[in-house]
Amino acid sequence: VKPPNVGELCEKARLSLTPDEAAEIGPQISRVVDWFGQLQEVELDNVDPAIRVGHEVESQRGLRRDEHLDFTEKDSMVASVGEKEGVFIKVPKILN
Amino acid sequence: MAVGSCESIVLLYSQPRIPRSALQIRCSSSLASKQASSSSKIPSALQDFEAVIGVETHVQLGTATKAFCGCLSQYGAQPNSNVCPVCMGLPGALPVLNERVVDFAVKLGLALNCDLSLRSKFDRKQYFYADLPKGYQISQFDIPIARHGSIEVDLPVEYGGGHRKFGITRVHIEEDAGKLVHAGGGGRLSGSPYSLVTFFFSSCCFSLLVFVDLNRAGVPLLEIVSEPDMRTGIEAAEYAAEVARVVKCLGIGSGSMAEGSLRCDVNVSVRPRGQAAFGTKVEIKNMNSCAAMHRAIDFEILRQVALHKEGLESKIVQETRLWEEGSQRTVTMRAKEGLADYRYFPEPDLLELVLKQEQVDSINEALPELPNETRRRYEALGLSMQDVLVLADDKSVSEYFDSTLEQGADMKMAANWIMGDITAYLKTEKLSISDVKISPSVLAELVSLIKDGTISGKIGKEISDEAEIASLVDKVLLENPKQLEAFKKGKTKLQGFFEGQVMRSTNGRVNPILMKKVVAQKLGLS
Repeated sequence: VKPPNVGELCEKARLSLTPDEAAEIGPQISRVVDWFGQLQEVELDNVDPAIRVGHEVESQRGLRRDEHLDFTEKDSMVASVGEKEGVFIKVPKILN
Repeated sequence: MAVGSCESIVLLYSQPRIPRSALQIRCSSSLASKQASSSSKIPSALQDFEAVIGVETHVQLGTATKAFCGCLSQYGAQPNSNVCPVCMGLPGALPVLNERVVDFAVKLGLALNCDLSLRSKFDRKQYFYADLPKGYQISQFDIPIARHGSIEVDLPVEYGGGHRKFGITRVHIEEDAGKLVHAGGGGRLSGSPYSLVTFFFSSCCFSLLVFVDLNRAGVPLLEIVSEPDMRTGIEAAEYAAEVARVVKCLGIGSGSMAEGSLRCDVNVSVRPRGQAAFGTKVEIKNMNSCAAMHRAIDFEILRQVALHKEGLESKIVQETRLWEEGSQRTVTMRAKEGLADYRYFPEPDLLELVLKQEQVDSINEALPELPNETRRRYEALGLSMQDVLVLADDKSVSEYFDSTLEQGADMKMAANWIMGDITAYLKTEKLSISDVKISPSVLAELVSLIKDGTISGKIGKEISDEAEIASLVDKVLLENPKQLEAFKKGKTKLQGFFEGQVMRSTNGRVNPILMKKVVAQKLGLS
């Protein structure tokens, strides 16, 4: 596994780190990735690949009916939005 | 140099007239002007090259509620009124999949002849944008619900006709983003916003404010990716029209490009004929109708071929271009700075999507007759391809036609009535065929009476009320005092003139025998 490109990761996650913080965090990220790397040692020859983690519970398909249900505290939720312009949510200008 | 050739290309494609029709006639006929028919022949410039076109379509589903929460999915609601913690991306909120979305996805997958994945999953597609509250879009990345399908289309007669089968790479479930409203107008263009951030910056740098409406965030979408099987603008446009027909036929969405419930992006590249390798792919966005797709693609093909012919093919770069309806050309957004990295990983908040074979089978059995099947059936009845395409374009029209036939009407006459007079009536009265007051059984009866010879074809629409004719004649005589004067003085030939004027004033719809009788009466001849 390549060492992390902290600059790129910060760009993607929209985080700003000082050079010192970046230098410190790089090895920490590597250690976390390596720790997960222990999974590579598991024997998988006779195991079917799973699509995702978690076993299927027959009775629960995890679906809901297509029925309208409003959030009970909708008004206070919308009212608690930082900045509004009438009914719209106001956000800062989009920069590249 | 290359720009110069593009200008001349634009002249070839001056904006055609687009006649309207309340029956939502297939997109092709919106280009059925004399200018368009000249572009049905491949210009000799293109014969050394082959265009390769792929289409990505986003279909908004017509479910009552959103994909992952119980908020209403409602076009035109007051901004930020159909929202909750889930679709606003508030901390701690968890998505739960709407079962009807699965139902609709299976329907579409089956209608497009796909292999369904009985087990599929959701993934997070991560990027930052003001209309994406969670900072990711729930989508399906590597295991979509349906794959390896196909769709069949019949190209419009005015473009040479022909039957085509295009491949469908995949169909997957995802959620829509919210809407951005700028103080200076505009919003997000359809499709991925990654490269659009730069577009907003370049075009809206004087807009200091961006407003967000999250009503649309979380609305369920099906994304359809085609194989790059199309070779011309009309093929791609007809593909899109057929997808819209299938969506409407299945009842899974309104399938309207004009309303934004069906959105298409295309990828266009050209290569010298015979070359196996693909040319550089250019993405085109911002086409709001099938006709616009047709024009945009044909323009882009010519633009790329022109560059090749000038030895400037290196100027074709992988980028996103916008179709400008006003100037009828594609223009560069800022060139993409490398591919987007969406850092996909499986959505931990959603279970695996499991389909039962029995469920799939029962949906399959209940599928309605699809547009392509209707066209084949009408062809087998002996209707001309032109008639087939019109009658099978809209399911409510074909159902009306079928109903009329069931009542025993003569096929050709019923077809002509529906395509001719009823269409015209619906257009002027701005109705849809389900509103029309002539029920299929009445039309069938009318048609059989005409066939028997009991009444003449024109009678069905004729004015034969004497009192009405009398007032029409009076009007004509009043409007032509000089001729009336001349007639009274002896120019008896003018009787024919008055008859003609009455006929004209009713667009030929007046009963000729009665009319002549009334004219003669009014002129004092009988």
